Amino acid sequence: MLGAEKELKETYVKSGQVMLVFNPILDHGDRSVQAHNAAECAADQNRFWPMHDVLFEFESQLYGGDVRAVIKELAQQVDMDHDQFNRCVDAQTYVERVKTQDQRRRALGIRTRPTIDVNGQLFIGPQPFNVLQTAIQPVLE
Amino acid sequence: MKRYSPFLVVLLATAFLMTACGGTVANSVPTVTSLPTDAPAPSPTPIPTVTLPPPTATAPAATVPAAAEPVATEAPTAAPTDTVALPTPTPDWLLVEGRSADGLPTLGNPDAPITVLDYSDFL
Repeated sequence: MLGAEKELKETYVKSGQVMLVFNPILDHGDRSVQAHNAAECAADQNRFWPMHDVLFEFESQLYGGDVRAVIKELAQQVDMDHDQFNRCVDAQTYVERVKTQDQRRRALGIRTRPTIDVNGQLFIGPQPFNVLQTAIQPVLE
Repeated sequence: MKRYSPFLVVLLATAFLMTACGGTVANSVPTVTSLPTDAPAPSPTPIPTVTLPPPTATAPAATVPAAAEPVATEAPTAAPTDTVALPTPTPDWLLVEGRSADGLPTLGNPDAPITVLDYSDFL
């Protein structure tokens, strides 16, 4: 997401005050599709968010080479059944799902990545934590 | 002076006394021939009656206990845990993955008052 994600998690998600939701944007063709498909494959093992974190952290590696091979290698950092994960990635199990989610995003008029929706209030582009906090804190008070 | 026989004197004195008393000596002494009929007859001393309890239908409990049934020698098992109220631990919401109504992946408390929806790409 955003540089503010780590602080959001520690400050509000961990305490149960905020729930995070992720909607894919497929701006980079098949590489984007493969990355989001892989995250959904990790979700089969309740590991969507750890895989999401790894992909963001090493996103520069997704631009070159065999993207599936790169994803499988990065997935080794996530504690899960990697044989099951690799079969899911090779089967392209969730490609249609992520494409549908991306189309819905387009239909909503979301064009910029990231776009952050805080209880209906939209923030376009990367936002620092304190900006998001101005939308969150009044709701909690 | 004429002298009277002593026998005659005693006889005359006796007759005088009897006349003075109004009857014969024999009649003056009541004779008891029977008890007065109008007097209440003495009732006999009542004999106290003793009421005994009726015999019970059931026989008295046996004083010899019946042979004891065999008792399991196995040690009792622990009490069922579902009867013990344990405090509900606070979940670590950073470990709670789920799906939104639209099928999008979620993280955290599904009942949280705030939802942060991130539209983004990994690249």
